[in-house]
Amino acid sequence: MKAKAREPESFLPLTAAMFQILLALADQERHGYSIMQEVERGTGGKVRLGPGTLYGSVKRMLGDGLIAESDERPDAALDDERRRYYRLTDLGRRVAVAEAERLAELVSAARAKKLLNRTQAG
Amino acid sequence: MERLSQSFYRLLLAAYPAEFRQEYEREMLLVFRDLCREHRQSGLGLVRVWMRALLDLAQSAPRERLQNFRKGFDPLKTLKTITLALIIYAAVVIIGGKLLVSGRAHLPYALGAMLDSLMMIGIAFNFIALVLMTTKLLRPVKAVRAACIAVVFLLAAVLAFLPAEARPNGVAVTTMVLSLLFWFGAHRLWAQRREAALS
Repeated sequence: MKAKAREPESFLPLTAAMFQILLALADQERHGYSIMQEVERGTGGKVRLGPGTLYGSVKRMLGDGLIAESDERPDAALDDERRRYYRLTDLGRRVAVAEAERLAELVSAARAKKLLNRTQAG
Repeated sequence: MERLSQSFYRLLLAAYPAEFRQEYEREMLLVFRDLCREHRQSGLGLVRVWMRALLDLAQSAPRERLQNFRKGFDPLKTLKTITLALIIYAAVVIIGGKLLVSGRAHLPYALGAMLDSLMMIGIAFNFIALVLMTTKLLRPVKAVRAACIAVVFLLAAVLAFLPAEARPNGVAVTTMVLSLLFWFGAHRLWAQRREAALS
């Protein structure tokens, strides 16, 4: 019997590291170090993943089917073949969207309580 | 300096569970190497890389260990296994003890001492190894090694506190060492087969 697929909402809330990894993979496939760089760049240096946190999250996300190892390799001259590349799965993308919507609702609630003004919320 | 850093980081990765290392050690080393290179280029030095790596290690290694420990861990089954083992051990101690006491009169001293130490060391060794394996604290081969070390310390502690006149003679010490080797060898063979079957 085929296992019932999990709903994206059942993964929420994501840890900060997991959400940042999903965001980093949203536009392209990346290897571990590239994910770290993208997370650091995307958060203006506020979030810096270490190797243990990165690969601990990667392990869990691979297990949950949110990301997958990619078979495609970039240009061989630019690539270190020992690296593994990761990509977002359809489920991972839907989970990222659901988490982003959840966070947006929280921001709206904070704004309604006048904890944030428009410029702070972006 | 960077090479030394990378070698030392490789050593520190032992803090993670073996399965995790097997899967990700190579990539974690590559990432650490890249971090070292990046910081060399930006002139920030290795201190910052190490602060980040150590903080990350302190946070993520216990989390991975805990998750590894929880994986497939069934408290009820573990409790049942340990209770059953305790009952069997108690039965072995009582029956074996009775047989030894009545049989010792007819046995040569060396043989009697050998049976004594085989039984006593076997009880301690098997119990420690069983607890380590059922709680999945260590993989089978490491659990056997740890049980051996624990029994050696236990024996040393007992011998240290015994009064001089009660300390075992050469024959008794030899039988203890042989018994320990017997249990260690038997368990190690079994543990190696179990690990081969698991991998």
